[in-house]
Amino acid sequence: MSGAMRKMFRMLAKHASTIDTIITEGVLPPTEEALKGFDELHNYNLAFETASGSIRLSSAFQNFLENALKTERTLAINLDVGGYWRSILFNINQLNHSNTLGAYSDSDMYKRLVIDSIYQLLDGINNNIQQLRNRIENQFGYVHSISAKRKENEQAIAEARTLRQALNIIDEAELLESPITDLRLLSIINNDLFGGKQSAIKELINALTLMQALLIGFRKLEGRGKLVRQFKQYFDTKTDHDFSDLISVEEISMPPNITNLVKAMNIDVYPDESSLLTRNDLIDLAQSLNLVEGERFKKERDNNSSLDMTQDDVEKTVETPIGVKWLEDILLALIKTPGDKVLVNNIYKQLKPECKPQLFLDAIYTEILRLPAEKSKFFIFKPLGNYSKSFNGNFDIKDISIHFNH
Amino acid sequence: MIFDEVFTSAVESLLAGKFICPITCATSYDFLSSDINRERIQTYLYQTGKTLSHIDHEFYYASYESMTPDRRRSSRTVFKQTQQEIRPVVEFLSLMMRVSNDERSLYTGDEIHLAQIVSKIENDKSLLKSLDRIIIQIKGQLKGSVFDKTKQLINSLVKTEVLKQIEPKIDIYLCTGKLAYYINLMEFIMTYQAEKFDDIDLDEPAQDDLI
Repeated sequence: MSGAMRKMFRMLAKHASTIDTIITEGVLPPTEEALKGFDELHNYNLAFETASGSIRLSSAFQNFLENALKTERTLAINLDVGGYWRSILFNINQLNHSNTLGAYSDSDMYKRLVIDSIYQLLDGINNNIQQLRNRIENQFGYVHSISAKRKENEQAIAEARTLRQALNIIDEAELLESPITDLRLLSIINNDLFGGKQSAIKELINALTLMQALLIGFRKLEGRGKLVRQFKQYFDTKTDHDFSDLISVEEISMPPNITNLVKAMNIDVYPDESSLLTRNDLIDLAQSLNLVEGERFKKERDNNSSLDMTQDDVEKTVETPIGVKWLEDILLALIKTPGDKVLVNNIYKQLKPECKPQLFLDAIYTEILRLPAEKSKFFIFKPLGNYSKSFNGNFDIKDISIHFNH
Repeated sequence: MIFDEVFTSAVESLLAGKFICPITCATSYDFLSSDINRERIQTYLYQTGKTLSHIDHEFYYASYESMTPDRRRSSRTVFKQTQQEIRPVVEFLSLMMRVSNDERSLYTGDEIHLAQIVSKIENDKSLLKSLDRIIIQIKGQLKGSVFDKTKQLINSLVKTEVLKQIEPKIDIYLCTGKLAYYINLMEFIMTYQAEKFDDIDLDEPAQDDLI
């Protein structure tokens, strides 16, 4: 018998997904595996094909599955601890009363009733806790949606708390009012009942902790999905997509960290190594620009390493011709490909909605080139010619001039 | 990697405005998981006027430690750019929720298999329409196969570092901490500009559902 059962359950486990499809869709998936599964189910009289061609499970099997699978969801954690406890107390009183009267056969009966009640209570508690464990272990997997899982979780927490409180009904002090002389019964009460109560409390506290953590997770998951849908609908239905007023314009206030980001250096717009210009290329390029002032600056830096840049206490001594390095940095940042396309195009595109010349230049200085303001002030970096004429986002390297700012 | 290399790498990433998370740079993220290392980085950043920020330690990034007009301007510029990136991210997440028929949004660490997405979109005209709308929004090319268009979308998200390709030439991608940042930013916006969302009714069919 057990061998046949094992064989059947193995078959059911193997074809679980086919059974699921039959229940939900009434058809067989068009796979060889599904057909084989149906044949095997049919051999056990668990499934059959209707006259209309749909596939059904036998009603007995369907009922068995529904009951078995529904158990997890429908078995509430609602043990009547008080009822069992009252029964235990009542039977102990009856036991004592029978002992007093010398009605020992009644005593035996009441003793059995007390013991039965104790173990029924403990079984009930353990079953309830097992229910909680199952729900936690499969993370409320018997319902599909996140909101349903969250609701089940909340419900389970409420039930676990109720059970936790109900366990307080099992009160040692109350039991002391009815002295127990039977040593076996005393041992069962002290070890099994009160010991069981304590371990159940520990289990419940663990379960509650885990369920609280799960609940936070479900709420986050549910919240994120909802957030995405809200923003999606917002973008679909509203025209104002500007949230920049979240950043205070007040000079004294600090923006919240989530809106306080340092400017990202967009690595993508930098040349890759194969297109980097050599130092000589850079010098040639610099010479092709009107860099007279820059050259003078370079010479000054080379000749006089103590050039006064200390107005902002930035650097008191300069060990390398940093002026040259800065020029190199600027030029490197400007050049995207071995051709002479200028990266300022990209910056222009980014800023286009409110592109003002000064903002544009500031962006180049402080945000793209990442030159600290105290250093960048030594350079004037501007488009050649009339702003309105040449400032169209279509810059070429020839349109840019860099001057040393005295 | 030896200590100074990890330190340098973390500092450079932060100063470059990058988000450090277990996906984008596990070494730097692990380094920052230690209190003492965070303190070291913080000390360094502080000297540059910046500070180490994080959201629940899910990801780290640099913020300005104090504000000057220049920094404020920079910060505003970055935020303007960031908020322009929210919509493509939202559209992408919404599309993925529909593709996977899941009410959960993607989050840091979730995997995306390009082939699976393409196969779902190819078999569903409404998903295809939605993809086309996103391609228009990101100013991509509408010509080409579903694969090409989906790849364009994915590439744009890789470029903004919301996704990371696990290996070159393998079309599997991971959601980075930058996605967590956007979701946290959306929560922030929702909290502080709740009035803008007052009349949003999720029971109404979404535009994509009407296609």
